[in-house]
Amino acid sequence: MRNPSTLILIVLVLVLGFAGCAGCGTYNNLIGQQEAVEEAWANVQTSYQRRADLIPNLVNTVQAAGDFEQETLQAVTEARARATSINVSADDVRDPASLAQFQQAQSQLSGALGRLLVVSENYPQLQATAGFRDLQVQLEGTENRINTARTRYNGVVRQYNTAIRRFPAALFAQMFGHSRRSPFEAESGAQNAPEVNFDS
Amino acid sequence: MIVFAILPQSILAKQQQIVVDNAGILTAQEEQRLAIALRLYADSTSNQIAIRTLKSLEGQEIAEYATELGQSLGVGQSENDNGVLIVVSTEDRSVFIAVGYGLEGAIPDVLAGRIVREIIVPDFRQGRYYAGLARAVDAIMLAAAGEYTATALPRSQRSGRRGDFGGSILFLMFIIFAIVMAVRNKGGGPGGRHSNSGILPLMFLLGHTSGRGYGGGGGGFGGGFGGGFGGGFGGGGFGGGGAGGGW
Repeated sequence: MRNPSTLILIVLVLVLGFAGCAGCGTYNNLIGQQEAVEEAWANVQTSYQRRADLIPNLVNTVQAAGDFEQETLQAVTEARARATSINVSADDVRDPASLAQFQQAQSQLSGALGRLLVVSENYPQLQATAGFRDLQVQLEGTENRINTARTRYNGVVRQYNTAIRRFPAALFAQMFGHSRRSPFEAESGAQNAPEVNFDS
Repeated sequence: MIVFAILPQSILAKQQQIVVDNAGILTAQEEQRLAIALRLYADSTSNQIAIRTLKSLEGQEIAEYATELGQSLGVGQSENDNGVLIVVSTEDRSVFIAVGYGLEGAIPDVLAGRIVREIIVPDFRQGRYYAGLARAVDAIMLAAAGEYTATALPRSQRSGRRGDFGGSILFLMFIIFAIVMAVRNKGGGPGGRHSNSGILPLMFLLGHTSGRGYGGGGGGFGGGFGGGFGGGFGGGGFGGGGAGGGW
């Protein structure tokens, strides 16, 4: 220990070892957060898919009830086709443009569904059928699931985006392929989401 | 009339209570009765059904509120997500049954919607809050029995046929309750209710809640039934399942 170079060496080893541990910890933490983001994104997609899956049934039920406004029905079918044609993987969400595109297609579908429900109020015999009421409940349920999935996705994305910019992670986050994910923007079309009113 | 036994609720944080009536729509006795039935149910099936009433949502969407509250309370077990949370807001005149991930199959939105429309709303319209809640809870229990196989049950019960499951849960609860009552009575408790102690829990659960004198028996559950309500809510998750309505 009297030799100063030995002392320096020990200090150096300790510092490097410490930095290495911290680096590994940060690395693992980032991986965990990335997984959480991907899982949350998968939930978002599942919930939108759930809505898309309901629509053929809804359209059939409405059609079966008689001469429903064809224009409205067609708008829903077309919006669904557009929305389901856009697949955004968890990796694509790095690109704000593809998320925006996804979001736009989905909110168009929300709008078309909203109109369908508003128009359906002019068809009392349709409203009275149990099948239609059940579909309304299911639709409302999927909207709630979509909301929940989006809110949670935004939550984990915010954490992740903060984590990759924080020191020391910021030093090597880029190196390991971590980059900012886009959250959902609060959309102006949010008020177009189907509102189901049980009182009516 | 039987004097109420002191519930261990006083030592539990309010957050961890299975029924919280902030809107004040239930009498103390009704609140306790629901709490006992729900705790008993949680202890024997590990499914947790919780009730929260409040005066106002302050502009929040009830579906969102109920989903987030269920998630943050952690109603249900974390490994099964088998919780249900009923939220009632009196000023908004709205009610929502939030269903945890694990029970979405047994209680799909359509069924939750029907329970709200056909059971809760008609009673609530006439101001019968307790009756509406009690009957809704019964319906939820019956629905949940159709699918969910509880971890708390012995293996032989678990592998039972689905059709019989509702009956076997009730039967199991009946037995547990009878044993607990027997133990309590042996321990020097009042003997007056001994004769009908066995049938009371069934009366609760089936909604024949005319047994007005009933009140005690809330304590003492949870030991030996991992995954019941003994340790409070278990961290179950909610993803937006369920349905609601207004009255």
